Amino acid sequence: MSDSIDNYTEETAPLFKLLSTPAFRFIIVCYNHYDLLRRLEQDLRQRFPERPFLKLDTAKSTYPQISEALQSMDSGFFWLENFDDALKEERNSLGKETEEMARRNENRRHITAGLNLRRDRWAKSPIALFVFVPMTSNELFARSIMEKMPDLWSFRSLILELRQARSAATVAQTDRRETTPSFSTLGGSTEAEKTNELHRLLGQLEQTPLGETDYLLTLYPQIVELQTELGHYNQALSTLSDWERIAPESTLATIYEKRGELFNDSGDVAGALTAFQQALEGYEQAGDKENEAWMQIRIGDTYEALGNLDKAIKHFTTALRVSETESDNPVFRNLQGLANERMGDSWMALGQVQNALSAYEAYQKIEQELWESNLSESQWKNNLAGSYEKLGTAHSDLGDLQQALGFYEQYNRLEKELHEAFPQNVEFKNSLAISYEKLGEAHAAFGDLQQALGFYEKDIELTKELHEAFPQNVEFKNSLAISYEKFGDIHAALGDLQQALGFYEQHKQLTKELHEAFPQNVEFKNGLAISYSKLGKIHAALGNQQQALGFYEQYNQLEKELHETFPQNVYFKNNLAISYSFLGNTYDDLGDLQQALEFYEKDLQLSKDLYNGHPQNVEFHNNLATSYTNLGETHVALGDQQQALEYYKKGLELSKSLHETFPQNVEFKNNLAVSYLQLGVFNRDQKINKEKAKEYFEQCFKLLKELSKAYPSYVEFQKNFHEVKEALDSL
Amino acid sequence: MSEDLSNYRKAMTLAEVDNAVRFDVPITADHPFFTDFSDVRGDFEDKVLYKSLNVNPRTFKYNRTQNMSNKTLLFLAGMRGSGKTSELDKITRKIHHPEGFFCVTCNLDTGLDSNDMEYMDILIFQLERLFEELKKQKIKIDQGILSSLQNWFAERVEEVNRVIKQEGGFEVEIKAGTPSILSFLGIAAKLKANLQGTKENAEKIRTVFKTNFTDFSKKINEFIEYCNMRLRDEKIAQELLFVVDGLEKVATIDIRKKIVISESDRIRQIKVNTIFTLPIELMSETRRISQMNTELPFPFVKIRERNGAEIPKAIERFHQFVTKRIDESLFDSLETIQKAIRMGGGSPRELLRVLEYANLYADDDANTITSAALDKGLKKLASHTAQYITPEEFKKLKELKEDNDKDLPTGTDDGWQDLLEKLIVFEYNDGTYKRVNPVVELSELYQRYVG
Repeated sequence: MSDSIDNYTEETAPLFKLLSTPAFRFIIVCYNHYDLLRRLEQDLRQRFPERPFLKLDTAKSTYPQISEALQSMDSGFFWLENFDDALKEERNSLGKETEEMARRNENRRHITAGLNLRRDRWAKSPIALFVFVPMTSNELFARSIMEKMPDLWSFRSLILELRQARSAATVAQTDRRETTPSFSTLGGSTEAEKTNELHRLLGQLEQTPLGETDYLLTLYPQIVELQTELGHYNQALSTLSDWERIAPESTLATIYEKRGELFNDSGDVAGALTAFQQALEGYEQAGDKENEAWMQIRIGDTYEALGNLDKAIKHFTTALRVSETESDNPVFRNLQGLANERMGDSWMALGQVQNALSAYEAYQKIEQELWESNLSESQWKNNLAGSYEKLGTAHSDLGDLQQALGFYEQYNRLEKELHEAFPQNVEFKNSLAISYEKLGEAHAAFGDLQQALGFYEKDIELTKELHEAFPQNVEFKNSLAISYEKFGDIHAALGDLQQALGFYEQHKQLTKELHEAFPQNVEFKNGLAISYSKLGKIHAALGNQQQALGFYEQYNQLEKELHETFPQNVYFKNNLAISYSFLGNTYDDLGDLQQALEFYEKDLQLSKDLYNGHPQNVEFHNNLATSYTNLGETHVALGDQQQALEYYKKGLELSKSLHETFPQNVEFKNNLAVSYLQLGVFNRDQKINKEKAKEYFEQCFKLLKELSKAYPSYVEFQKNFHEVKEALDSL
Repeated sequence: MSEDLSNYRKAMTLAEVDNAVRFDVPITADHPFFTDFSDVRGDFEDKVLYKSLNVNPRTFKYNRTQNMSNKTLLFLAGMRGSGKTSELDKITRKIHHPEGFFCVTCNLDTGLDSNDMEYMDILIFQLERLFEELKKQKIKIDQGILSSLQNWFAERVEEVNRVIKQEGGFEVEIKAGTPSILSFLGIAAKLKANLQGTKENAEKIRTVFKTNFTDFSKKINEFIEYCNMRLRDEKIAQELLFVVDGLEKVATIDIRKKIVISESDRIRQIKVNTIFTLPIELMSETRRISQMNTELPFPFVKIRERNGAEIPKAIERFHQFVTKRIDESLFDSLETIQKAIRMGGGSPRELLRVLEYANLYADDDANTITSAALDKGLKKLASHTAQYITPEEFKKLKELKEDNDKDLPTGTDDGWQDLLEKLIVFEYNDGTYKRVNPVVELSELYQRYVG
């Protein structure tokens, strides 16, 4: 199904005609964006204001509730949203039905069977029964409805397939949790239990004579593990040094590897790189291919964190080569999968999503094969779940939200099973939280903000539990901070700016604590920078420009430091460019055009570098177009018309090529419309060429007409559409 | 094992022969039937095994000072019935002392379900056996260590039960009690019993332990090294040594492969001296196994050279082997014994099978195993054995005969593994010298296909 067509008007025309005669109707609506439901509701209310309107969420209702609601109506419209839930037959990944699933499945069967059975009862009243099914996967819902409700289907039914172009960024997505902290079962599952176990081990260490090396060597790995989990990084590093003093040469590589991980956790990326390289040397000398491949992956990860993606890919390729030496060994096969995963990550960072998708597909294939060959290996199951997450992300980046949502659902299902089987396993719990976050993101992008909110709530609940169980653990603290950020985003998107502000403040509080505790940690520093940017944005939206300026300055300061420390890291460079652009916007709003110009020029310089270095990267391409547009506007305001025209034209050129490459992308379409509008206004106001101005306005009008029709609730589209309409009328 | 051997006496009458030639009961080194073949096994010498364990082959003392942190993982690879169990019994008796090892033998064929077994089962069984031996020796274990280990196990059992409960199955009933050797022994025994119970529950137990294997190995490694300290303190032994015997008796080749190959990574994580008897068909995987540690082939006794020349010393040793079990007076002649030995092909167990069949056709009234009875028995055995051979396999046997006739070695490839496993082909030395089972050569089918 192509998403490039907006078919609302065409598809709903026969519906409205049909509804003009009050009678019982059964209408199935498949939709690719939740906005379409709001649009349809709006239209129905406008066209048939006298008819009653009742809505229920199928996923949260039982048949008696639905039946009672239907009986309460004599006429009108009865909506059953999320009707796909009633068509589901829930099974776990092994195809089995748990007690809870059986209960839910029974409720679902009651709904479809009940509606079908009482068809004559419903048909007596002139009610239009609407059932809504999102196009979230390739499942044939119509067929399923026909099978489960054959009599109702054969009554007076109509199927609508409503489509609209996608909104690229309903909710801004910034960063995400890339790694899941690995937590042992040593000592237990709470901080207190683990602390007790650590004390026991330290006691054993103290009592054991130095000559009993073998016993001491069994204590050190456990102590390091527990100290790390409890967040005592410096003590863990010191234990590693003690361990190293008595360790036989054959285990030194393991110690270097652990040291690398600890450096990584505390943000010392350069230290981690050195340690991993030492470990690699050790494993190579010992002929330990398995660990050699793993170290190549970890070194690649570290280069990726440093922003050196070419080197990262080189190491991942080597890891793949080494792990291919024993493809029949599941451990090596898994390493092949992980090498593919990491390559996919690097391609994603480079903006080459198609390449990333191929790598993720290879990763998923391997993990699927491994898990199927041994269903009792939870690690393979967890990796398979992870591969679905990656596929979801790649599809989401490609704009295919239906596919993305499907993958996120599979990811969530497997993680749910793992968490249910191992509730004490914090790794699985954390992964489940992330899977909810991903579902939240996908639903937000799908326009269903309420559903998204529900998933974010589940995410935050689990993440809070993890943070409360291990308050010292920085990974969980960081995860909670990110959850607050996501929560803020969704509230902002729902228009609840004060609530959003509250969550953004909590986000900032946690990231600040993390940054202060680990000033070297790049992730935490970047997290703090992002929290400032979010606070800046929300204050700007609330009209507090001065406060917004303060936060943007702090954002800019941190991004400057990050860029100076890691000049090769494109992510930091891009963030710095964005921070300049935000500062420019704010000074512009405050009326200080000279300052705005200064920041926009800095932004332009960086955006140009990024685009020239990575011409395939869509984000850099779009940012550069925006930079030109911003400069054009500022130069107009400053009276430098020639310069403004030059920038506008450059911006238009870039926006045009983006829209041509991604015609379904709403953001790019809107940007192109804005470029035309600006040039139209410019030509009109400067009295350069009236015909040219008209031409630009017409092109803008065409695009905005489509957008405002498809997105009636988007104020910006409506505003621009009216502006251009007036401009055309006046011409 | 000793119970099985109590009625295991030399046959003085034909009626006693059947019991004396039982090949399903391994002989211990102190039993009158025990025959030491170590100096006639071709390339295998037991001193290599001692050295692999860092034990002095003369004093049988373990050189711990030089080998701290150097745990031996030894795979003794040999065919079924080659006498590995008896040889291992002899060796463990020699090294089980205060200057040597505390040997804990785990017989997989009696301790676990050979139709459904994984490495997790073996490890839990090893733990159970260790606790049994510690209890026998009345070794005191630090309460903190026991509590920590027991709590960890209790949490895993809880996880297992949660999954079982979700699917409406019967939970694993374990009441841990106050941590002690006895209580832990109870947990290990119960887990082992459940592993042998329903397949569903066994799978769930394995999943939980595999999922947490890194931690499992850390807990076990700490416990083992603590035991090693205690064994030294109590002057019982220098270190622990597990003898895991019977892997070749596990039902299918796939299960065996899964244990040794797929689990190699996990086997390596457990830091304890261990001897595993290795199924012969996994010898082709030597590359991976040798990465794990030491692998020693344990061949049949070579009674003939490749060119057909007999090895008198080996024949003589088998003569002892036979006459320790069956009184010489029960045979009609020395030649009958010699013929039976030749037909055994250097495999003690196959020789016992030949004798069993000869006894079946012997005249009870005459109270003698005659050459004719032996021939009849061999004919029957030959026709039984040859039925398992496919025409394709006969082609391989022909190839082997031609190589041997030219005194050329035959390499190892996957095609031979099945024949070796079925005891159609015997292997000697390091595996490069193979011979067709002499009994098979007698069959009509062999004569027809190979000639």
